[in-house]
Amino acid sequence: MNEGDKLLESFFGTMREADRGMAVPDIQSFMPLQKKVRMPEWAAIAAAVNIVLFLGVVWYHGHISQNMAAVEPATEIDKNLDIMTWQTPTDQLLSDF
Amino acid sequence: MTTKELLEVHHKEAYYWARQCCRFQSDLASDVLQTAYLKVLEERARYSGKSSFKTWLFSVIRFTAIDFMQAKSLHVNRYVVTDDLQLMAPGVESENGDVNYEDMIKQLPERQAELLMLVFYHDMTVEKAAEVMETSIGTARTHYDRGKKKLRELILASQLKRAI
Repeated sequence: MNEGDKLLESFFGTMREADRGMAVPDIQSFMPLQKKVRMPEWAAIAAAVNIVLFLGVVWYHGHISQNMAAVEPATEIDKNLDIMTWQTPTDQLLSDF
Repeated sequence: MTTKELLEVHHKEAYYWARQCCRFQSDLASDVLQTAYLKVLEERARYSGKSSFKTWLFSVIRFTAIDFMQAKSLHVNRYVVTDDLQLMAPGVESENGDVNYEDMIKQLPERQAELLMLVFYHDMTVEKAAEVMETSIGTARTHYDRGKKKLRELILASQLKRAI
């Protein structure tokens, strides 16, 4: 090592010594935060209420459509059944005469 | 050793290096180091094992710092070769007459300063320093020799000034 390099060695050595006194922030402050994903209580209750409401609506619609199916006439003939069997109040006069 | 453990081992030196890459701006260095660690942990920067972990980490930090400095437009004279030295420039010494090392380093062109830091401060060979800077050994040697010459002149000028 020549004289010039010794001068630089000494320069950087002193600089390193000076840096040792500097506070280096802890590594944890540089690490990305690992957030714990925890659902708050109110959100859990709201989710449960939503599920119950959804199931209720599904059940209600299913029940209504089932009842409608039971009431509705099955065929076109059945639909006209009332008209076909309808009799006028004076219908017996036709058979009497 | 896990990546996190390796980062912990080299943290102190990495912080100093980040600061040096940011021209001794501690706040900026913290942001740079945080981003560099994130790159490493999220594997956006992958360690292939070709060089030592420290060499690779220093390279990641350096390029992250360049991005930050460019974003902040502080990297103006990065590729400007300044042969004219401002000897006896203000700021080389502090008010109480002590040598201000950082101001003296700041007077060197950036790549020369980085090369000298890697070799003399972080005890790397010129070859390792070339790896960190992702440049050829020939180019690194040129920056190294020029940097040494200029810094020597600055130190001697500073010593002369104090002697007077």
